[in-house]
Amino acid sequence: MTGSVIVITSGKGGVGKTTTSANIGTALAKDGNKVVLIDTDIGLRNLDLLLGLENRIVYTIVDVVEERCKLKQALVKDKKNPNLCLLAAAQTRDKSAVTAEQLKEICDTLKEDFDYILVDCPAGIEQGFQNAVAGANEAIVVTTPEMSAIRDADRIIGLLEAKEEVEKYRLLVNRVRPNLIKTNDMMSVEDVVEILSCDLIGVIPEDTGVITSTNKGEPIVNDENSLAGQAYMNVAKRIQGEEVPFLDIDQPRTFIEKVKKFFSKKVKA
Amino acid sequence: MNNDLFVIDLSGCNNTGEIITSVSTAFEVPEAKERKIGLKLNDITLNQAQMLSIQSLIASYASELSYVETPNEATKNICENMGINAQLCEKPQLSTQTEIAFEIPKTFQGNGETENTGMQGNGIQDFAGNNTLEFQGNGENIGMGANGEMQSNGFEEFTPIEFNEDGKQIMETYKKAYDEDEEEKQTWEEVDYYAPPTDEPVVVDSKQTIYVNQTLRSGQVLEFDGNVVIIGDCHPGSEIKATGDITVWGVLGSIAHAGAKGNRDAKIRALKMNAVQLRIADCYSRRPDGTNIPYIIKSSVFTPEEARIVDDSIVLFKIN
Ligand SMILES: Nc1ncnc2c1ncn2[C@@H]1O[C@H](COP(=O)(O)OP(=O)(O)O)[C@@H](O)[C@H]1O
Ligand SMILES: [Mg+2]
Repeated sequence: MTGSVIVITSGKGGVGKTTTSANIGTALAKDGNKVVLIDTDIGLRNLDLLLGLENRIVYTIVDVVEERCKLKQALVKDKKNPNLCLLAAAQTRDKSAVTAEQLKEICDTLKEDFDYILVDCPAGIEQGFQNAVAGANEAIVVTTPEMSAIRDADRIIGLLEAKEEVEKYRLLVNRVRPNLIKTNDMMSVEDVVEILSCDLIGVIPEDTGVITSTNKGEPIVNDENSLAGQAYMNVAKRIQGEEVPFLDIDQPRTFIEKVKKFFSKKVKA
Repeated sequence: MNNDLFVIDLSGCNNTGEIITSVSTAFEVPEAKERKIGLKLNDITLNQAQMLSIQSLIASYASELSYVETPNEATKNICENMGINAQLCEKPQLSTQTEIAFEIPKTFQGNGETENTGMQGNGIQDFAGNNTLEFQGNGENIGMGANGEMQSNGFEEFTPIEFNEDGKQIMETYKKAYDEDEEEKQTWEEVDYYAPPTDEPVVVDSKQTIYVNQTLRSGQVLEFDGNVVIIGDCHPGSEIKATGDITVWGVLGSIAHAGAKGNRDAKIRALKMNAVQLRIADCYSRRPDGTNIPYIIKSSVFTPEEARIVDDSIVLFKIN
């Protein structure tokens, strides 16, 4: 088996890389794929919290590279989905504890046993970023419809283009608020795609459920009634090569209505 | 005079002022007096006048400065000119994170071995990473060989967790030995505390105890060869590792590993137990998922508990 290694990156912090990693990982696993999530934000780890796995971590990626345990021992299985596991970052160390080569080696080893290896990248373009992209052959660039996030995403895309191993990169626009776009207070997804001239893999609406799900340690894709969860499920489908139409986000009214209809049907069924 | 070296680790000190403070603090330990003293310095250049002032400070405690280890060539030469045995060493990697200051315990209990007593001057040492604060004090860990070579046999690695075939961890949650849902009692007299399972005194370990008067924050590690008493909270993301008991006078919300070298009689106690994981010797346990909240619950209602091993599981007891 040769799995794909997909890095989730953004340049800017706080735009939703970790949220995206947790949700796409869970969604891919729900679809029956074997998935590993790697947290490379050493020293500022979060992914374990979003998955509710903090209390199960004994060994981290640093223990693996420093040979205190085998790679398999450091994989923490998800509570719900046996197809999903997490390779946690160490909280008590920093980015220099792991090198790009070591991360690549870990990804290459995991590729043999897993369908998808998702690498949650730290903010910035320094060593943490270099490590995270080292083993990747695909990238998802996360941005929000804000000038600063877009500028940083542009910088990241430039860096990714320079990496031969990264065969494709696609854009995920997060925290989109249709009613703000409607009143011209927020850039539309089309604008963002045009500025960055990059293929789109997903549009995730702003959803307060994301925050409550973070606090519960339960990714939002597990909540069937959530818009953001549905959008993340669609991203997972596109990663698997399926063609899923984008939710019509530029026409907010119909968009919301459509979704509402969709769910009311589902609930009744 | 006792001819064994007493080593003071000053690798965390970056100027003469800090060195003087740390050296004087170290001499609060009676064992440091009337001894030959070794100093472990950071990469700083000390001139002869500065070296002399350190030397005379040490002499004022009826001790003698006889060995210096430094990564700094100039300092090494000055020492040698003054007739002090000096040796070059690796530059210590300094922690970029917040350092934890602590008070050196007033009573220094030796472990019976008077030879090779070493003591960390300011208690901060990089160990297995640049953010680990290791407190050593009972002379077991740092010794000075007869040939003047520093030996540090650090913290032994303990790899205790069991894994089944597919690498899955077997780690159960810690459980309470008492009924949590009992009715709230109105007066102290009504409170019926569950007695711990044995009549043994709570502290049975004669090891040295360190007192840390500070909040332990995410990313910080406190390691100590002995018992640890923290006056403050321990936030999730931090770790305490002690060969003896761990007592937290506050909320324990982090990982705590007592008896880390294998002492299964070690205990962990806290005013409020909300630990991500409790580990005693080779026995690991995790917080139940229901309370797997990514933030610490701060509250003034304390429910002091003690964790110990009962039949290979970690169990919490209410403490009186
Ligand atoms: N679609 C969304 N709707 C609402 N809040 C979101 C959304 N995506 C992310 N967030 C919030 O944004 C914050 C930062 O997200 P995070 O995934 O940690 O970003 P990063 O990993 O890029 O630093 C979190 O508090 C998260 O809950
Ligand atoms: Mg993150």
